[in-house]
This record gives sequence, C-alpha cells and structure tokens, in this order.
Amino acid sequence: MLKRCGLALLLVISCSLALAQGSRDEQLLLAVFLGRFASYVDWPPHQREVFSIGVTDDDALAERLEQLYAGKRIQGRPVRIHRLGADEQITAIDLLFIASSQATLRQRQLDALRLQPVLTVSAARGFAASGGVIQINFVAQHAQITINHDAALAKGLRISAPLLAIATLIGRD
Amino acid sequence: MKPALHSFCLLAFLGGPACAATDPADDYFALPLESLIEVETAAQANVGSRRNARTAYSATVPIDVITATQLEHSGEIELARALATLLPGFNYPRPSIADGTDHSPPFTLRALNPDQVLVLINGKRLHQGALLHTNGTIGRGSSGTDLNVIPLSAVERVEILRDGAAAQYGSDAIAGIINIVLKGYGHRSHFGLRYGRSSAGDGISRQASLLQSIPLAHDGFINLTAEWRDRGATNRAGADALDGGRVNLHFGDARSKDALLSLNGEIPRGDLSLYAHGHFNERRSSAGAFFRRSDDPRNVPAIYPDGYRPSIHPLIRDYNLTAGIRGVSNGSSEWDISYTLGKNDFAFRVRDSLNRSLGEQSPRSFDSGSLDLQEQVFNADFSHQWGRHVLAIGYEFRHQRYRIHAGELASWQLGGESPWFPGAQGFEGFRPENALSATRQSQAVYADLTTTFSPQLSVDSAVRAEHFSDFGTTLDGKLALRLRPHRQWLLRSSLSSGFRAPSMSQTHFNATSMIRDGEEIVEYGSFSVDHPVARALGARKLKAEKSHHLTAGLLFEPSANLNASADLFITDIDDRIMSTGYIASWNLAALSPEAQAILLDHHVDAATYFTNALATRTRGLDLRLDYHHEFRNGGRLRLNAAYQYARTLIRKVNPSPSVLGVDMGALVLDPYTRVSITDGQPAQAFRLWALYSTAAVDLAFNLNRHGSFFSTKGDEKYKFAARWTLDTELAWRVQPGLTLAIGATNLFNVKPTEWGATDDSVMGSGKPVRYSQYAPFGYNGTSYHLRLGLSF
Repeated sequence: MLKRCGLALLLVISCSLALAQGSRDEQLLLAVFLGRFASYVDWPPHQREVFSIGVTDDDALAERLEQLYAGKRIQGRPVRIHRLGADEQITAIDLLFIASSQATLRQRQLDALRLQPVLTVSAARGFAASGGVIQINFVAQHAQITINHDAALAKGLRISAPLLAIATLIGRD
Repeated sequence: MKPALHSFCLLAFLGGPACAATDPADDYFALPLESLIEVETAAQANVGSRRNARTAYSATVPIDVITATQLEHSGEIELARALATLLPGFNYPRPSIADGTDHSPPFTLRALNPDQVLVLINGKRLHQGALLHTNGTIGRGSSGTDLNVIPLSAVERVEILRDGAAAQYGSDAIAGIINIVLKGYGHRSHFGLRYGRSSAGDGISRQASLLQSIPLAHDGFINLTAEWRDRGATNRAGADALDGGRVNLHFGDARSKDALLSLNGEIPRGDLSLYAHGHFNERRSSAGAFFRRSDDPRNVPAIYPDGYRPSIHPLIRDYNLTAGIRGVSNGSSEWDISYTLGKNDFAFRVRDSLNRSLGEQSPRSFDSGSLDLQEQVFNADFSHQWGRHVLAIGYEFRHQRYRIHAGELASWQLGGESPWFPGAQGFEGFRPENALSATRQSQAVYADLTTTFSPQLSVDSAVRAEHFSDFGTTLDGKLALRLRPHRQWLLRSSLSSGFRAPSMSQTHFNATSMIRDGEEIVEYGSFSVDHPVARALGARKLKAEKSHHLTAGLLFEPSANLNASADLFITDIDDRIMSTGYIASWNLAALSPEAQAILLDHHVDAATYFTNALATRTRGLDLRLDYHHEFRNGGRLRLNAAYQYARTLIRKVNPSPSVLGVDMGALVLDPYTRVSITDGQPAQAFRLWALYSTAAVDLAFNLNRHGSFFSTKGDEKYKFAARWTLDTELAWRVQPGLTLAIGATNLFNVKPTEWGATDDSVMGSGKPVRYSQYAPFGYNGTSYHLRLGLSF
C-alpha cells in the first residue's frame, strides 16, 4: 500500500511544472484589497512622494505587504510599509490598517486620526460603526466590506462609486 | 483498495497542469473590483487551536473543512447523511430493525466506535445521546452523538480534526474531533424548501427552513433558525415465503419527523463579547420490529389473527445551550468563560404490539420507559501571546447525570398467560428495578503552548490532567511539530496520548427481563458493573480507554490552486470497553461451576455486563487533493479528492475474571463481534467532489467509492463488495437571492451486495432482508430532490 501511496505523491510532484508562491489565504486577499481600496479613494492634494501604508500590531501582514507591493505603485507612487506598535501613532501616512484586537486601542487610533486624511481600515467587527472608514471581514470564505461614508468625508477622502457599490454603507443619508 | 487508490493517482496526474498556475496575487491584481469581491479564499478552521483560525493546509495536524456549499449541494437533509457522502472515513450505515438505533443511528470515524469521536459546536462540547446501542449494529455497546439535532441550514462549516486530541479537549477525542460552526456574523437570512423521494416511490422527504439573521449594534447579531423535517420511511424488505409471500417486514429508513430550532448570537461591547448558541430538537420517529407470524408463540391469535409487526415510536428531545463571555486585554491576552447545558431524552413508545404473557387482556400500545443524559460544562480559558509563544491555560468542570425511567407496568410485566415473553413485544419496557439516576463529575486543568521558532518551524505542546469522580485521574500530553523546509512543502507530525471515559450508559445501563422457571421467577439481561450480580460474576469498575497516537504527514502546495497531502496514522487503544456475551452455561460451555452457582443463587438465567476487554491498533492513511480554478469567463471549478484507509487489528485480549473460568476472547469476542471490530466497517473510502459554478448555475458531482466490509451470520463470514455511487445537483440562480435546484443521490441506483445463501429465515439472498444494514450508503437506491432557496 505504501508503495502505491508513494506513487500517487510522486505523480503529484512530477507534475509541478511551474512553481508559484502564495496561497488562497485571507491575508493575501486582504493585502491585495488594501492596495485596491487606495485606487478608489481620492486624497486631498499633498506633496508626499511615496504612498505610505501603516500596519499596527501585525508584522506578518506588514511583511506580506512589503513582498506584494515591492516595485509596485499605488496612486502613481511607490509604496512604503510602516510597521507600527499597537499603540503607536503616526499621521504622515495615507492608509492605516489597524490590526489590534483591543477595541480601546483601535478607538484611540481612530480618535487621533479623526480629521486626518488617512484611510483607516480594519478587520475588527464594529470598526466602521466606531468611526473607521473601511471594515473588511471574511465570512464563509468571501470578503465583506463595510464603509463609513461620513467618516471618509470628514477626513476629506472621496470614495468612488465602484467601491461603494460592492460595500455595505453606513453613515450615509 | 486498487480502484480507489488508482483513482486518486489519476487525479493527481490530471491535476498536474494545474501546477502551472500563476501567483494568485498576480491573478488578484488583474481582477476587476466586482470580481475580486467574489474571490473565494481557502476554508479556515478553528479546531485544534485555542487561539487563531488557520487554513486546513497550514495546520499542524490534518484537518478537513466541509463548507455550507458542500452541505447544501449534497442532496441530503440531515447533517450526518451529508457528512457521510462528503467525508471519507465517516461511516454512517442505516440500521433497521434495531430498536432505538433505527431512530438515532450512530456514525464513526476511522472505523472506530461512535463514542471515540468528540463533537463540538462552536468549539464547545456537545453531549452524547442517552441511547446505548445494544443491537447488532455498528457501535454496539456505545453511545454516540446525534448530529441530526442540528439544523443543516444553520451550519456554516464542519471542521474535522483527524488526530487524537484528548490532551487538548479531554475525553472521546480519539478518532478525531468534529467541530460544527454555526452561521454567525455577516450571514444573510435564508428561507429554504426541499422535496425529495426515492425512485421506488417511497422515502418522501420534505423540509422547510428559515434562518433569520438579526443584526445588532457594533456588528453583533442574533441568528435564529427554525427547521421542519419530515423524512418518509423506505422499505426494501422482500416477500416472506413462509408467510404466503407477504411483505411483512419493514427494512429501511424509519419515518422521522423533526422540529428543530437553533440560536447563535453575539453582543460585542468594547473589548467584551457576550455570546450564546444552542439548539432544540424534537423527533417523532417510527420503525418496525421483526414480524410475528400468526402461529408465532409470541402472538395471541385472538388479537392478531394474521400476525403482527410491533412498531417502536420514540419521542426524542435534545437541547443544548451555551452562554459565555470573552474578552481581550493588553492586546495580547484573551479569555473566555462559558457554561453549557445539554440534554438528550429518549422515550420509548411501542404500538401494534402486545404483552404475550397477559394473553387477550394485553394492551396494544405501551410506554416502555425512557433514558436521559444531561450534561453541564463550565469552561474558563485564558491565552497570552508574547513574542513567538502562545500559552493557553484552562479549567473545565463537567457534571453528567444519566437516568433510566421505568416503563408502565404492562410494558415489562410477566403475566400468567405465558412463562416466557414478558412485556411489550418489540421493545420490552425498563423495569422499576432498572430505574436509576446516576451522576458523575470531572475537573480538568490544561495548558497548551505553541512556539513559532521561525516561519518554517513551529511546535505545539499540550498537557491535560483530569479527575473523574467514578474512575480516577488521567494525565495526557501532545507534541506536534510543523516544519516548512520549502515554501511548497510542509511536514507535520504529532505524538499524543488520550483517553475515553466510560460513558455513563456503559457504566450504569441495565435492562433485565423475567421468565418463569416452574414456580421460580428468574432474570436475564444486562447488569450494570456495580450490580451485585455483575460484581459476583467478576465485573470491576470500568477504567478509561487509553490511547496513543502517532501521525506523520506531508503537504505539497505547488501552486495556490492545488495542494495535496498524505498523512499516516497509528492509533493504539487499550482497555476498550465492550459488553460480554451472555454469561450462562447454555452460551459458555466452559463456564465455571462457581459462576453457575452464582447465577443460580441470584435467580439469574443469563447476564451480561461491560468490561475493559481488549486492545486494538488502527493504522491508516489519509490522502487529500484540492484543486481550485477560476476561468476567464467567470466560471469557477472546485475539485476535492480524498482517500482514507483505516484498518483495526486486535492486539491484546485482557484476562477475564477468574471466577468465570473462560477467557476474555470467549466472553466478548464471538465471531460477529470479532469481525465487527476488525472488518465490519469499510477499511477504504474514496471521494471525488466537484463543483462548477458560474453566475447563473452551480453543477455539483460527488463520486464515492465505498470500500468492502464483512459481517457474519452464525459462524459464517460474509464479504460485501465495494460499490461506487454518484450524487449530483444542478442549481440555477433564477435571480439574485433566488435559487432553484434539482438533484439526485445515488444516481445510478446502486445497491449493496446481498447477503449470500444463509440458514437464517429472515436474512439472506431471496429472504425478506437481502441487504446488510452495515452498507455505508444504505440500500434505498436513487433519490431525487427539488430545492428552492431564497436569501434576503
């Protein structure tokens, strides 16, 4: 029996012609979505030469973003990833992904950036209702997006229609 | 073996071109936004980890995930039947003429026993059933968990951990763990209707379900599911040549009507979250016992001049409610406190019957008593992450109560019209002497440590100490290693010990009958291990079954849309608990004079009891291959091939009580029991599941090869050959949210091989019962169904 099992595995192995990396995991899709969100958002004019993405409390995601966006551009600018501690605050960024599992820390980040033109994103439930701009959750293997449109407008961010069309909107009359 | 494994090899070969797929990130970047939102990620699983969900591909131990999509397209209306078609090694035969077992059939994993599987709902323990399977079915002498009490429409996914995990979860996690995850946050409300019937015209099944999702503030939710299920009986019994060619038996599915409710809810408040989940199921079922011909000594011709077939109509109520609170602190610590209350109540009602010993005065219907098992569990878990380490510690308190309620007088009474045949024919009632209420408590402390030394290497370790009030203390451990030497390869191995506490029914079940021997009334039947008769005959307090597990496997992921895995496993179980055969001189020729004297002194004709009887070794192999492809036209193909081999051998037979004068082999291993342990369930199973989806349609195929198995009739061993079955469903999305589906299970009407020629008057080729009730896919043949779903 073991010989046959070995044969089956060898067949699989022998068929691997081109070897690619990555897998269909949620983190990869999340990383792709972060860049895609940015392409559907207009920021107030500023002079930064790079597109800065901050990631709090999730070094694995930050590493994934670094790999994924190396050599790529968002909004026509090269991408720089900032790894931030859970309680670390930075304002000179364009997009902040808040991974902290603690609601009080998330809220502190949101309050600090409330009127800053920073696109705040998190996978934490209740994030959009708490003043975050985009909340992305994975339900039954699919992404679900919730957008707090009022929070975006308060920051001077304009989200274009295609992104709004695939999201559940809150805070918009 | 060969066809199934060759099929797997062929799939592996055909899957080769898939390896040429590109980096999924490039694919994702190329997708328009409206397509990106439709991307399906790999299924995640929580089971086996106290902290983070991870994909089945990246887990330290082998895990299968069955999704709601797979369950929906299976064509089945009950969770156990759906899993039987989707999960190789999940064996769920359709027992018939087996008393209570007809109405709550057991399932097994890896050809082991029904009670050697732990079932969780949302990660919390689900109680076992009260019913002890006492007839000649799979799982004889054990109590399993009834999965069909969960509404299928409430299930988001089912996670199956294919490894021993008692060091993490406690008793029963020997063959594996099944974690049922209920639909939670983000699910839409859904209404479903389904109608089905067999190609023979019977087995009409109707199902209506409503899942109402109520969103709450801060993304909380309450999901309520109500389901009504009416599964018609099937009958594959043949004509009885000894009864004028009449079809007088019922051999097939019981008629089963279920009302089900389930709840899953969560109320987040800052860093705290209150949660609750639970279900209630009421099942009214009916199935027949063996037919008693007119001239049968168990008949009273004045009541049934043409003979009669008693029918058993149990009323089964099952509920479970978990409530808890969990929270996070300091960003790196999590805690969870919960309480679970669950109960299974199995009440026996018998109709179209009589008590022969009461003669013409006998009633026709009986209340034969009931069994119930209640379980309360308190859990407190805490986990903390620092650096590369995650430490989880916890405490569990469990309280179980098992009761036997006596039936009404006529259900067990020995009247004056016959010295034999007391009580209700079909299912004799429990006597007042059998009634009891027994309790047990256990307390456990446990610790898990996961250390990620590098992205390539992580180690999980676990230790659990548990004290049971009835049999003492257990200490178990687990060590699992995950090594990724190359980004496409993952090696994993685990070594663990485990245990299964004797079930409450094995410790306390007793059911005895009376017969008249001249002027003397003597008893026979099953005695609990602490009954004076059992003790005198050598019964001892039951010990826990102890197990040791070794799993070693590798996973190959040449591209994002293809992965294959192979896992070898060995499971040793010592002190397996089994029922003795009848201890009586007419059954055991070598029974000692001392034992015969004990029987005589206690006015007992024959006795059985449970004992720690033997040790077994189960060896096997799991192969998995998953393939996923997104077509440029928007179509999507999902393909999953799986193969399992599991074979159990008896390693050792424990010494028998010296008072009996017979060895344990003679006491517990009659030919039927021996074959049931080693060959009674298919050693091999293969499945190929495929789903092609477009925006408008889903087309699902499920090809199964059910391996061969053996059974006995008398001392003869019979082989039942392997069979292929194909299920299919075509679902059409009429408009957004509205789906109409048509499908068939066992499309080509494959039947199991028949019993060969036998000396038996009922079972055998050309006899009323042609098929084996151990057939893993039943014997109904083809069934068709229509399904309508509306999401809103």
